[in-house]
Parts: sequence; structure tokens; C-alpha cells
Amino acid sequence: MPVYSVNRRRAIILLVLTSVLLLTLDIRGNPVVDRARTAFSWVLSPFVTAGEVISTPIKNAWHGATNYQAVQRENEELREQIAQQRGDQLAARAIYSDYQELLTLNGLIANYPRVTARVVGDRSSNFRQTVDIDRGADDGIGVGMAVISSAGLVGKITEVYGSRSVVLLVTDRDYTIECKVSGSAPTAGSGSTTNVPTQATAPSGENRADLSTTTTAAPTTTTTTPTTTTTPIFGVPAQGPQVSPNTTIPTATGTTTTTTSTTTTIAVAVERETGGCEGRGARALPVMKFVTENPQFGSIDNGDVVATAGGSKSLAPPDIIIGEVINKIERASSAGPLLEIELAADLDHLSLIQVVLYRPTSEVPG
Amino acid sequence: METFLRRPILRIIPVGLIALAIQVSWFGALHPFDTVIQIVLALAAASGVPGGAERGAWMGFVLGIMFDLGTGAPLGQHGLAFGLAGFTAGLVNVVAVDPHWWLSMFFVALGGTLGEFSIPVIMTFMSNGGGWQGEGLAQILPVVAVTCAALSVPFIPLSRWCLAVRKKKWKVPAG
Repeated sequence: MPVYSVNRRRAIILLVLTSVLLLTLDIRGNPVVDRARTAFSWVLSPFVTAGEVISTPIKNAWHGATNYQAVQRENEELREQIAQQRGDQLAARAIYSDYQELLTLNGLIANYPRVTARVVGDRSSNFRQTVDIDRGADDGIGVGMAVISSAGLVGKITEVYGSRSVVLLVTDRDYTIECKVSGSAPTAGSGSTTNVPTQATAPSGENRADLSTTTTAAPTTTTTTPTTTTTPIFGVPAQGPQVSPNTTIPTATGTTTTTTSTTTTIAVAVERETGGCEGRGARALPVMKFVTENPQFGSIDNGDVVATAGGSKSLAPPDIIIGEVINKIERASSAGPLLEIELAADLDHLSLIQVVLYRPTSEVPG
Repeated sequence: METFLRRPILRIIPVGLIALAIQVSWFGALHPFDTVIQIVLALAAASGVPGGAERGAWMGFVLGIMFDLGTGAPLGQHGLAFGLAGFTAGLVNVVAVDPHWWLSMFFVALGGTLGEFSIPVIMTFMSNGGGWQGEGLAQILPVVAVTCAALSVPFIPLSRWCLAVRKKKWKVPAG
């Protein structure tokens, strides 16, 4: 049988052309393709559920057999960490409560409804980072919504069916989101810096960024009194409302600082840089790009926390923890440094996740 | 009626659904050497051995389209890659009329490897950001090749049934 027979060539040409046609239709967006996906998902769903039911004990047995020692060691390490963090947690809880109070005072509080879902299908390709979850349009989930775990950002919804959705993970190459990083500003004069432990535990992955950001009150020049009052505040955006004089503000230590009316200006700003966070595949860490390191804001160092930036067009609400900077790659060009991010969420062991039912203001009708 | 029920497409679709469900639910969680085992790809490649290059390509294409529909990947991406895998494995019939088991295994591994390699190639053409999309291929391809070769043992008879191809039987000429 010859390698290049007419039938064979015809079959291959037809196959390639059909694939290219389908790819073109799908990329440009086609309602027929979308309906086909929905119908196929409906047909596939019981098979996946059955597979999940059967495979769970087998997977557990496999993991038990292959990872027993590692799990035991990890368990001991985690117990140790929990013991260490218990104290931090109490401090963080107090700070978080103060933080929420401040947000409420300034009208900045934003709690978005969330849907808890279970991961029913792990990534099925070596080149696309997606997982399936058991909640869909019936629960109010829509395309683009942010997905979080208890640790931080997991990804976003890319396909929605009745009772199933596909989540594109942060590590996928097609994933991008606007993000911000807290920088540590140079301390000068009487300005004080308050650092909150990065490991602080908060009730959810949302609104946690500012717990671990470094907040610096810029040194202020007072004109009428010799006293300079410095007030650390968590989570107030740089452009946000300024703290008015005569306001009693609880501090991290539980004591209160009262600003005096003689102080003319207190410039309080959360130091941060915004940029774009991009996935680079399963084998590489996501990076933050387009960071213009402004000396005015201080330098970005390893350990600085990266969180979503929010904004009227961003698909995720602000202040969802993404991870921390673990490597800063300086670039000679004007593109700014490239920040490699270690994700807060463990994407290899996802079980329960939450979909934030958030739509950017630019998409909300009216 | 019986002829209708023996049509390959009526067998490929349910088998493909089961394979896809196993892929998503079982093999999605097991990542030896940080690589996802591709059983649908292995089935597509294995179909080339009993069916030949053309039928292998078409069965691979159908399985790939099902994979795209089921996983949310761009439609046609895996169709093309799995079709290529089936076609490549089917070329075993060019080198041997009745290939040995090890030769079939080798060609299924070759088809699977080529199919897996073609996925990032297609993604590179389609990517908005540009750039090569296939980091880690040196680690992925050997694992895919070995698993495709191992899975060819059950999948070749299965795909023979799917394609409704009878096994070749050779008779010793009389006299």
C-alpha cells in the first residue's frame, strides 16, 4: 500500500480543512458551536459524574499508596505551622475587624455573593490548564467570573453550562488579569511602617490583600504644631477618601491614636504598583508584567503580595490575593521588571472552590 | 437494522464518551512526571492500526472533536491533532501487512507522540500572545509515548470493534 495514495491525501486534506474551518468558526464566536458544546456537555455530564463516583476511592487508594510518607511528613509540618500561626491568626483577626470597620466607615466595603462548587474534573490536557466544577448557569455563574479557593485566586470561568462550568486556571497561558503589588516605601523622617504577617489567616480569599500590604504614612510636615502624627491604615486606596482630622483610629496593637486638629495634612497612601498578571503554563510561574517601578513608591521585593487590582473593566473584584513575588527579573528595556509570582492557591489539589458572582461595573446594565 | 447498528459512528461516540469521562475524572488527577496521561489520544492513535491511515484519521478526528467539545478547548484543535495521531499510527499497515504486536505498539506510540506534539504547534498559531506554547515537551512526550504504547494493548481490539473491522485471518494455501 503506497504512503501517498489519492484517497489518503484527500482524507488528510479534508480533515485539515475541516479542522481549520471549525477553529475559525469557534474563535470568531459562533452560536451553533456554543449550542453544540452545551448539548455535548449535557450528554457528557452523567458519564463524568459516574466516573468521578467510581474513581474517587481508587484515586484515594492510589494517593494513599504512593504518597503516604509524604502526606505524613506534610501533616507534621502543617501541625507545626498551625501552632505557629495560631497567634498570628488572633492578631490578624483583630486587624481584619478594624479593617472592615474602616472600609465600612469609608463606604468601601464590598462583599460579593459567592457560589461554592466542587471540582469534578481535573486538567485533561498538558497544554491547557482547566478544571471542571459542578455548578453552572443554574446557580448564577457566568463567563468571566473569578474563581477563588480559601487561599486565593484560582482562575476564571470560561465555559458555562446548566450545572457545570469550566475554570481556566491562573497558570494557563491565556489567563491575564489586572493586578497590583504592594511595595515597601523608603521610610524617612518620622514615617513609620507597619508590617502585617503575610501568613495571616482571614475568613476568605477576598479582601485580604490589604491585610498583608505594607502601609506607610508618608512623613508629614506640620505647620502649626511641632508634633507629627502618623496613622497606619489598611486597605484605603491611594485615591480614596482621606482620613479626616479628629478621627479615632484603632491601630494594629489595639491602642487608639487620635489625630489632633492641629495637623494640617496627613497623606495616607497604600503603596502599590499595578500591572498585568499572566499565566505561563503548568511548568512555569505566573508573572506580573508592565510594572513601572517608580522610586516614589519604593522598591518591589521578594515576598511582596500580589492581588487583583479591580477596576470598572476587570473581571475580578479588587483585593483577591493572587500570591507573592518570589523572583524579580530586571529588564533593560522600558518594560519594567518581570515579577514571578508564587500562587497562594494550591492548584494541584483543588477540591472545593468558590465562584465570585461579580460583574465589572462596565458590564452591569443601567 | 443490524447494519445500521454496526455503523462505526454509533460505536465510536459512546466509547469516546466513556474514554473522555475516564480522562477527565480519573486521569485528570494522576500526573506521573507532572504529565497528564492522554487516553483519548491513545485510543485515537490505536484506531489507526486496525483501520488504516484514513479510518484512523477520521476516528481520531471524531474523538478529538468530542474532546474539544467536552473540555472547552477550541473546536478542531484536538480534532486535528488526534486525527494526525490516527493517521500516523495507521501507516503501520504500509510497512507490514499483518504487523507484529511490538510494531503496532511502536506506531501507536509514534502517532500519540506526534499528536501530542501537534497540540502546542496549533496553539502557537492560534495564540493571541504569540510565542512557542510547548514548554516541557521533552518531559511530556516520552510519558505520552510510553502510555500510548501500553494502552495500545487494550485499545487496538477496542478500536477494531468500534470501526467494525474484522481481524485478518490468513489461510495456508491448500496443496
